[in-house]
Amino acid sequence: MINQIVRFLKGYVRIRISSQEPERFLNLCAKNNLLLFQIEEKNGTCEMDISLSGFFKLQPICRKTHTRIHILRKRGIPFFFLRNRKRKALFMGLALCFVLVYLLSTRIWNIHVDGNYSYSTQSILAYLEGQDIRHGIAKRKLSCADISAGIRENFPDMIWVAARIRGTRLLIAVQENMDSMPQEEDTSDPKPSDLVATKSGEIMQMVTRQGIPQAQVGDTCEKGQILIRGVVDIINDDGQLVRQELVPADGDVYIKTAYSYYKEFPLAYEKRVYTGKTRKNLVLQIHSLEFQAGLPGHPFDHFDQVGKFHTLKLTENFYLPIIYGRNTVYEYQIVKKKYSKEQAEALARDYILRFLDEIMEKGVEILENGVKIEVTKDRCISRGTIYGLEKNGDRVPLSGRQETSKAEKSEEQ
Amino acid sequence: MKETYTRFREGLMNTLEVPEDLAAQESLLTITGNSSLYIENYKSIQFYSQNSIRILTKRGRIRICGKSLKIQFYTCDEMGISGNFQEIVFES
Repeated sequence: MINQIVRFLKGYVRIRISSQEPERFLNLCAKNNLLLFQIEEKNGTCEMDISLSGFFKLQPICRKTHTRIHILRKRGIPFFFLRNRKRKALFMGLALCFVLVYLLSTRIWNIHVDGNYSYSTQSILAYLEGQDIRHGIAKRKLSCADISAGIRENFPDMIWVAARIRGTRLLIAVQENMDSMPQEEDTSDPKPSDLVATKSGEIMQMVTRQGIPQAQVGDTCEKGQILIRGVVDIINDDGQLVRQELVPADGDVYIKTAYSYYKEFPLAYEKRVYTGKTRKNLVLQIHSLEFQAGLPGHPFDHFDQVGKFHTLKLTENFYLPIIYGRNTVYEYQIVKKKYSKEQAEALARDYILRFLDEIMEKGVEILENGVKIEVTKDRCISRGTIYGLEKNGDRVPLSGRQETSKAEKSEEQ
Repeated sequence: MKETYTRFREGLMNTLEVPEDLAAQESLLTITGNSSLYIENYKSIQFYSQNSIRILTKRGRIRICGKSLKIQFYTCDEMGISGNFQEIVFES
């Protein structure tokens, strides 16, 4: 296949030879490195293809073998140009084509971003656009080192950026720092602290790991009350206080909290019933100019409008300001309906479950659900209290006390 | 004398593991079905017609008989023949 293309580009001729010894002619051609192909014997003569350059070297061989040559066909690009040498527009078009291909190949037509995880491609492209790097920019104006440095500077989470130009593509490969998760609190050497209640409620479970518990299961704690104290008294065998050890209070305290719930909705509601009547039209938007194909407007009182639009793009991220798509208007009628008792109760239960999910997301374990659903003539009311088990307590540092205890120690000494 | 030289030459070529076609200057024929044939290591074409081609090689002649025989390409090193082959005869 490639040989045929090369042959066509260089040009070749089909010749017929008349000779007493066609074999000798063929052998001499081969010895002189003249490539012959498609050799065929027809009615005592031989036909063959020979390259244009080879054809001009045939004369000495013909003389030696007393061969007469008859040209049957001329094929290939050189003959095409020769035949069409008067068609100036064709050559100008060809020249223009090559010039255009050359000019277009000096610009960037595709910007490809690879390896980004938390930053979207669009945000990186928007940054590049801010730096005047956009589709169609001349390649000589680009500096890959500057692009990489700029992206690294602007997106601090990117630990590695490489920009390179391949043909008319600008390839940006990035590596993001995946380890930059929110760091956990440093618990290696915590400061002495108390565990203080952040909510009021009855203590249901309590586990103390460090410190002196100030309340016990069954007690009711108030907001701000110390649950576990960070000051541990060291008492000797005589029952006298030797010193006080300051520790970070640690433990799990679970309290029972009450959430009051109230939700009311009317039984009457409006439902959209689609009539099946639609009106479609095609939309083409070029910059701010909008063209519509189809009937303008619609006779519907109540309607939903759904548009599906696509932006025309040349390459992966090279969007043109041309948007095309289809607008569809669906007509509907409003029908007044009323929930039955069962439907209303199911809906109310659904609302309650949604509320429970919300509080469970905060880490609350549901102990008791005391919500009652009541359906009256025209309303559905659900109210009640939900009891949940949740963790209580927050560490409050003992900085003030620490100083005083140090003072006490020095006095003792 | 000639026999000794030939034997020595063959032994040397065997020891050096030189391919047979190079060592013995034999022609190499690659045939695909009965329609396509490639030949390497030959001297010249002795006769060519639609029904028969005779090729001179260093170790004798090869005669290819068939119908509509065509030479696809012909250089001093290799040639391709297509057509409908009926027999290939090695004449010495």
